[in-house]
Amino acid sequence: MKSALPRLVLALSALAVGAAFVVLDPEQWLTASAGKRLGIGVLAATVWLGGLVSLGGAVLRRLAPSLLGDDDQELLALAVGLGVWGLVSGGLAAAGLLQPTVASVGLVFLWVLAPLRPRPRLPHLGQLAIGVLVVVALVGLIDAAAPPIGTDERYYHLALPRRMLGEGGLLGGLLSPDGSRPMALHVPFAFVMAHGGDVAVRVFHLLLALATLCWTHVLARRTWGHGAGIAAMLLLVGSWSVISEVGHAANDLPTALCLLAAWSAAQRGSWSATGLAGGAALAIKYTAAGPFAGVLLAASMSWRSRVFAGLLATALVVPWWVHNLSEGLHPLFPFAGWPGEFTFQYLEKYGAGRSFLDFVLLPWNAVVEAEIRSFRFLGKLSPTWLVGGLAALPLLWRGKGRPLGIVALLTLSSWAAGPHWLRYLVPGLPLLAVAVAGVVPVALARGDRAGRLAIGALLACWLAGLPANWSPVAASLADRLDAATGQEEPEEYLARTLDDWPVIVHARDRLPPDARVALLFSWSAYHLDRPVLVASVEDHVPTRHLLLSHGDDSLEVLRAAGATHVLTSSVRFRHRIYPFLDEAHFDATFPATEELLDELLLTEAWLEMQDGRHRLYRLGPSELNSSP
Amino acid sequence: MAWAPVVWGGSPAGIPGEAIPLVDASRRCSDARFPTLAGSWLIVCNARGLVSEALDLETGARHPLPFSGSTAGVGQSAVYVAGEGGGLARLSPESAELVDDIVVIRTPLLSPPATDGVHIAALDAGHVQAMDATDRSRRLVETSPVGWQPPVLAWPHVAWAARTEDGDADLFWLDADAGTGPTLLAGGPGDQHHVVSSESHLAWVEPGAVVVFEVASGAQRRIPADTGFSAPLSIWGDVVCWEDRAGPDLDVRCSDGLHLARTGHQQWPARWQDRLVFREDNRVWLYTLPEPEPALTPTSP
Repeated sequence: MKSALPRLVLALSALAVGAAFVVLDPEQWLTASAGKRLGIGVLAATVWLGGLVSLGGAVLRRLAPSLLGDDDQELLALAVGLGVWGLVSGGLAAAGLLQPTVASVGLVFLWVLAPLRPRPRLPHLGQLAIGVLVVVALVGLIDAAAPPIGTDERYYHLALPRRMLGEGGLLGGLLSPDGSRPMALHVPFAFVMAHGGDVAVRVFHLLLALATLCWTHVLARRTWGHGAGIAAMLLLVGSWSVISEVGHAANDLPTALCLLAAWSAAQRGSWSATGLAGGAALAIKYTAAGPFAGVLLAASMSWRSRVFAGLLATALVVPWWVHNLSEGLHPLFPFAGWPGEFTFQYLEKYGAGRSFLDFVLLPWNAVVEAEIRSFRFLGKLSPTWLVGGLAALPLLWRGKGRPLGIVALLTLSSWAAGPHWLRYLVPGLPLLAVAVAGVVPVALARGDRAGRLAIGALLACWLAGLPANWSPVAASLADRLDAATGQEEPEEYLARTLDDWPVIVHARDRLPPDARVALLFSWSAYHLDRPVLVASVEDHVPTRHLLLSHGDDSLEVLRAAGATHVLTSSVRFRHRIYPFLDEAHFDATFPATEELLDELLLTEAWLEMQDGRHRLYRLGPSELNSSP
Repeated sequence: MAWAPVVWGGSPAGIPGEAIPLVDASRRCSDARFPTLAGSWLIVCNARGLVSEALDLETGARHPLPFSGSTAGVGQSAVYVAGEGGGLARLSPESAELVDDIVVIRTPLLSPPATDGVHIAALDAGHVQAMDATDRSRRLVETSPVGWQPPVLAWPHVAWAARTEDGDADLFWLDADAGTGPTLLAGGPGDQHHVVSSESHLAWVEPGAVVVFEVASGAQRRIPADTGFSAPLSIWGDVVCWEDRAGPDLDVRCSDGLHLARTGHQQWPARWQDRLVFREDNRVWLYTLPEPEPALTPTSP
């Protein structure tokens, strides 16, 4: 105790001086309001994360005690805790208990489990790995502290938690299709949001992302030895598709975390932990199916155990299918089961083509030809993936690399079969990084000059990828920094960056409190401070389906569903984005829907506000403004 | 269909009895209320959708504005853009003259301002402001504007639509010179809104009708109409025009009997004398009323 006291005093002094420095800063580089937002967000996210680790630890101690004691114990507990809490909180939401008070009770319950968890054991990381994590944490914190402006956060990752909190339960159905996805991450997001707002959700995601990076390091080092851990981390953080997500609310990296947990458990023969973690991954994002199939195939367990693991994983997804079935929908809605002849997703729209030659060239194109703002791949990877992947092939063919080879094959082939957006590959990327990172220790094994030269060349290749992968991140951070620290007011930042902000402000400040807004061809669900209907996803499918299904009665359908207003944005669909559709089909299913909506709004609704391409309408029937 | 794009260059625009497309004026504006008329001047936008140029229907004169903005207040031969970088311009066949040393409104506005070339009115989140453009003093009165819809000037009167406790919109006005508070101009069930003004008259939309109000006498005329769903009214003198959706498609009607009913929708009317600017199929058109039949000359005995 005596020896600990000076260190405790030092720690407290450091915290106190740091806090005083921020608070007393005469220039107020971090304003009180921004500091409070960030502080509450970090506190709420950390407490929730700790609660999930407690839950996962308690579950693992009961189900798979053999997995405890290694240096990835806490990471495994986090993934399992996330999976179990996703299921439990989903049940609470289905019962209409998605409320702040229930969130508090749930959090206390998670911490009550702390005594049941094993003794904490943190992973051992080298100084370089810790340095990388600190850089990533700084990037994520700046992003997390500034107001959300990304499309995916605005219509999905933050919007759904907020909408569910507002409604007190799950959403879903044809008029709220985004809510019909599995919500095993977004319901926990909603509970975190109840305590710390959107900043807490994004910091929570950041912590999950850091855990993913950390675990990638641990597994690569455990599999291949010295040098592989940091190589795997650098592969990930050198890729825009990973680093750009860390400080946002998203579901790719949490899915990856659960897949890493499934892999780790599968390699140590625990079918129950494999099933729980794999099920958690599937219930967060279906694109985990390919990598998880690889995990099961490569697992160090009997076929019987693999079947049990698969069944357990499926059991974690089934409640979400039941939720859809209870609403008369296809279990996999909104990805399948739209009534009528309606295509949810045109695979041809993505990537660089789907001919045999295109698939042969896909690895090259996905790395070299990708653009972060193009429908082709919508992302960016480090070029090291290409050369590292090729060099790793011999390692993954046999021996200890073979299981990783199987996972890599399933991950890449399932991605290639789907839409070629790089974000859909992100859930499997950490496992791929573990697989590819074996190149580094093998190259260094002989300790000769050729090995060092090869590593130097790989590093040079990684550095060559930095301008394309990190410049957009740096530019975004520079733009967001003032908003993150409070030098720029959140409202000013949003007005500067969102072109529909004037319409959102008008709706927020001028619509009646009980207004219900249908978002048609619009992604702006999060910032709109009212209950919303329809919203958007994938080619504006919900709005197009509504209009194609109901035609002239579309607004009447919305009125009957309780919509009082419509917020819409001009899209101007272009045939060149869908060259694989014949012109007549394209015209009938894309521009015609927008024209029909414009006509209906013109003849049946009342324009309340317009700014640029964004318009807000009041829906009737207005017995007062109609003709006598 | 007549297809004679107007070339702005020293001659009056329009062919009596015909509608012609104004190709030069058909660029889409950030604020859908533009292009619109400021007296005889058609205020149009640049490629970025900013209000930036004035074209005269009467003389064919064409002037770039000395400023640009995403929206503007317009009055008789006058354009005003609020905020830093804005200004007040008075339009004449010779130039768009920038008025020096005007008051700059720095508060964010909920709607375009209003001007008559000498005075300015504007609505922010909680106030109506009214002032002489070059005077440092201003009337600042608390209100709860409906948003997006501009105030109007018939100096010294300023009128605007405000949200009331029951959630409806009513019209209020004040005498900026008198120093008295705002009073109700038009209330009642439903929304009274889309108020517009000429120098002598105000007009607005109420449920099922357009109301024309003579400021001096207080006389009101109520014209049944199904409007107020999109564009504001347009007023010139005591003639009011509106888009009407009582028929199978949208037409433009005016209080002097003009009924412009063509194939498709006719929208966003703006009236000056015998000219009507309107939009059809995303293009701006100019309709000129037919010249009146010459009066019969009495034969001498």
